[in-house]
Amino acid sequence: MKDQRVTRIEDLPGPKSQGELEEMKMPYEEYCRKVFSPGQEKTKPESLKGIRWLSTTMYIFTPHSVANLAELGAECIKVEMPRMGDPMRHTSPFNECYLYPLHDSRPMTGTGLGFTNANSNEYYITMDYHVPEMKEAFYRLVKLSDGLTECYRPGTFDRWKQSYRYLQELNPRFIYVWGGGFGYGPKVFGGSYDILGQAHAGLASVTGFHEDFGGHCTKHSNWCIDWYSGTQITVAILAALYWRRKTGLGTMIEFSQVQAATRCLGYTVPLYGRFGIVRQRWGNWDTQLCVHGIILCGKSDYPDEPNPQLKYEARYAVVSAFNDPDFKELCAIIGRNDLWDQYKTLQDRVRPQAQIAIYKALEEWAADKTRSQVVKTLTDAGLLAMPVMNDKEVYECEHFRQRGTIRWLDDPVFGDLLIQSGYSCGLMSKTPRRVNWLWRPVGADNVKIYHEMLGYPMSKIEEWYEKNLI
Amino acid sequence: MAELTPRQFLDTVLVPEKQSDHICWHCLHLKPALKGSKFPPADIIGWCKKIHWPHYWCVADFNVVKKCYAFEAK
Repeated sequence: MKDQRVTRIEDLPGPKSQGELEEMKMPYEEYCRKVFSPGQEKTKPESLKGIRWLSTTMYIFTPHSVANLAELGAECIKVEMPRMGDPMRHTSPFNECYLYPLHDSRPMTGTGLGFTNANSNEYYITMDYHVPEMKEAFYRLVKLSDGLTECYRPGTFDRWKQSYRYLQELNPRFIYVWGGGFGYGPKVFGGSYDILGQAHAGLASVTGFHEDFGGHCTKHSNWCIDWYSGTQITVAILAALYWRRKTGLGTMIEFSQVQAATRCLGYTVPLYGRFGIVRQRWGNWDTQLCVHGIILCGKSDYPDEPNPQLKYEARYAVVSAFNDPDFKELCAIIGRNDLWDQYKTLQDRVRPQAQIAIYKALEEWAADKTRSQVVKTLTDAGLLAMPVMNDKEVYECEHFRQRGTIRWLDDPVFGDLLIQSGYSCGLMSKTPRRVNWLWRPVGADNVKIYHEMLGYPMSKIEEWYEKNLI
Repeated sequence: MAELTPRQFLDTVLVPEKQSDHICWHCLHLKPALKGSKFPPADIIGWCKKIHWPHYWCVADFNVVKKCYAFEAK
């Protein structure tokens, strides 16, 4: 019982120590640098330590949901096909499948670069769990784990007696994630690819240049919906973990990729529902704001580079000046005050015809300038302008460098690797994400998991290996 | 046979799903729903590419457009 007559310093608001006092007096910038201190992640605790997760997944979408947990400190065990491993190892740069007629098979060994980032910090075991002989080991892993993410066709795990229905009998606290293309419903057997997610969700149709400008529906080059949906699964997992703390019970999470991608369609669906307007794509401009888009400048920043990405494409810049004073300033800079006279309000400017005229004038003004000149001129005038950076420039960017967004990792197996990985996500002061390793060879941790964790004798593990069960 | 413009040629190839009294059938800006297409839903005759450009506006089948400020003859 605390004595009410005594005032203890630690019960009072405000700094409790010299160190805390110093922190309170620091400028904000310095404070952020101190609390986030890139490069010091491994000296800090991990928020998900104590969670163990199984990843019976392939490619990017579902593995990424588990990689997020692993970067936050969960112990994640990736289960791969014996010998072969995750097909992503064989379908990505430097270890691709060769296409007919050159070759009509895919490499059975090795790991391509595309396997990076989607499975960081995990332990790699192999298991052919659909064989009855391996069921016991699989069930024992389930009893010792908090959850699992799988990506097989709906009903496959059920047929193999390892769906949520079966696993919750073994472990009522078990959280089970199915991630795939469509989920239950008329298209239950539809497969899942990023491009399919982007197309079926209606995202590709509002991406790219308008039909009237000769544009076609466009998918994002990178598999952004794979990464994005994986992250959404992670959010669901964290919510399920919190729910389990309150109820003691697991959850089944059924996650359709084509459904997830509709989440980033913003006002598209309500617009159709209320007004019957079918949203179309509007290229690198914006339907809500003007000026707020990407323009092409006349000259490259690297006229002498042999690399076409630098020589020809380092010419794009983002220009944003949509409120009235900014737009007025922009018109003065490009010597087109007539545009300001014509489009004095945002309502006037966002009209498509107005946008066409304004961006045309901007590109005419930029036709004899390099991208840097354009960005500098506009920035000096207090407007927002940014070069459209390629990966070389992103790598060299001082801002990212200081925040540790992109950095070199000394991977225990593969040596120096340049990664963004978990460091490109939001920063956390107390329990930051970290990347310990990007991937390990197929079956690298079989002994660790089967022998050290589950206690199977080495002779058993060798026998399974001989039988191709692991 | 007289030389067809690309537009006239497309009109021979892209047969619309419906016929109705909409003035839109004679308008430059209609993009008709094509014959045999299971998608879009059957309650529109097509899309107007003008009124909400760059977006397309679904022209309903059940309220017939007789007059339109954006009308331009083909």
